[in-house]
Amino acid sequence: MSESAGIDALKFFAKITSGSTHELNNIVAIVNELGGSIEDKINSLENFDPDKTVKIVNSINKIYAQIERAKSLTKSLNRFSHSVDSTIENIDIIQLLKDAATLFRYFVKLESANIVENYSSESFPIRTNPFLLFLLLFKCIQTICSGIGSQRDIFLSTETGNPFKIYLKCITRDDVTVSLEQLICSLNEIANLFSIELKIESGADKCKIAIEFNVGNINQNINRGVL
Amino acid sequence: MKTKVLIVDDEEEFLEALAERLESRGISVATASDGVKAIQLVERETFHAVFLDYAMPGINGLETLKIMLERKPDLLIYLLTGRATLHTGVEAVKLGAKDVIEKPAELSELIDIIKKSESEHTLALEKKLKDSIADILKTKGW
Repeated sequence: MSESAGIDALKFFAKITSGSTHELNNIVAIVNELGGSIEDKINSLENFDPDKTVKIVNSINKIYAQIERAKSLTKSLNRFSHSVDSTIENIDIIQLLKDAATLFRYFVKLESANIVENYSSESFPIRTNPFLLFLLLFKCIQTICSGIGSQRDIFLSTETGNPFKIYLKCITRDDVTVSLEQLICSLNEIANLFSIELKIESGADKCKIAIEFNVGNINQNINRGVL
Repeated sequence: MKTKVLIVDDEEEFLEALAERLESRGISVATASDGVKAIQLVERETFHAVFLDYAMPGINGLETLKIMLERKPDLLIYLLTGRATLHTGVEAVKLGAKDVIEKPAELSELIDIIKKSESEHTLALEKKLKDSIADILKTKGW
């Protein structure tokens, strides 16, 4: 497949995904309003058994909790599908990281790991290639997951400044089967693939690993047409 | 005048349920399932606020917003959409939208917006009235 056919295929995939997430969001919105409508009707009823009312309201609250879950996932998926709309665009980097954490959580969970988020600001505008940033984050997290053993936390954090920095940190298990050297080698391969510099630090006891990369590097490489 | 809003969305069930909930709280609601019908309603009636979906068949939310504001520049329009990307939001505000609200929104959030819009609408009307009176006084030399 030629490069332009590949781009077309990716755009087609994104179009179908974004359209479907939009439809899913509409369904969520309707269920949300219908849930509210039932709640309104219960509240307006007179001589209604209070025990039954409490049970119905509890059930409605459970529906709302699932609506929130669906809302978060569909919105993140919708923004992800729009990440291929243009090569470079102005984005909110914190929103992108939140979306990445939401979308990757399922895959991380399959490795019995967990993403812990801690951001330095509520939002921060940057100009970058959002799709490639999603891909870079996914590859790093996936590689870390395979190297740290199960039941571990991966800490995703940021440092607001110029350049804006993203950190991925984790502590491996004592009985980790994959060697730290192998893990660092895999991460360096990702860095080479993206033509960016990943700052990788491992602890003296060889049980800690921290990755740092600044988004500015990605911008520069994109502007130079490297990525 | 009773508080009156227009909700524009191609999802009929969403329109029905949201309109019913707002009406039970004393707000008068008109609905339209596409941009053309919404523009016709705006030309005929007065609304304190308009909530507009982005992705609709025919003319989309941004185009509808543009036409509405060309015809009624004082209209308070909010984009209520599940497709709130940064780009869409910036574009909508540039075109004159008051704000972009993510769908589904909390009912309390919508009611707060409607109350604020009503006050803003009243203030704008008062200002218009004062300006007309001042104009008359000036013209007549009083």
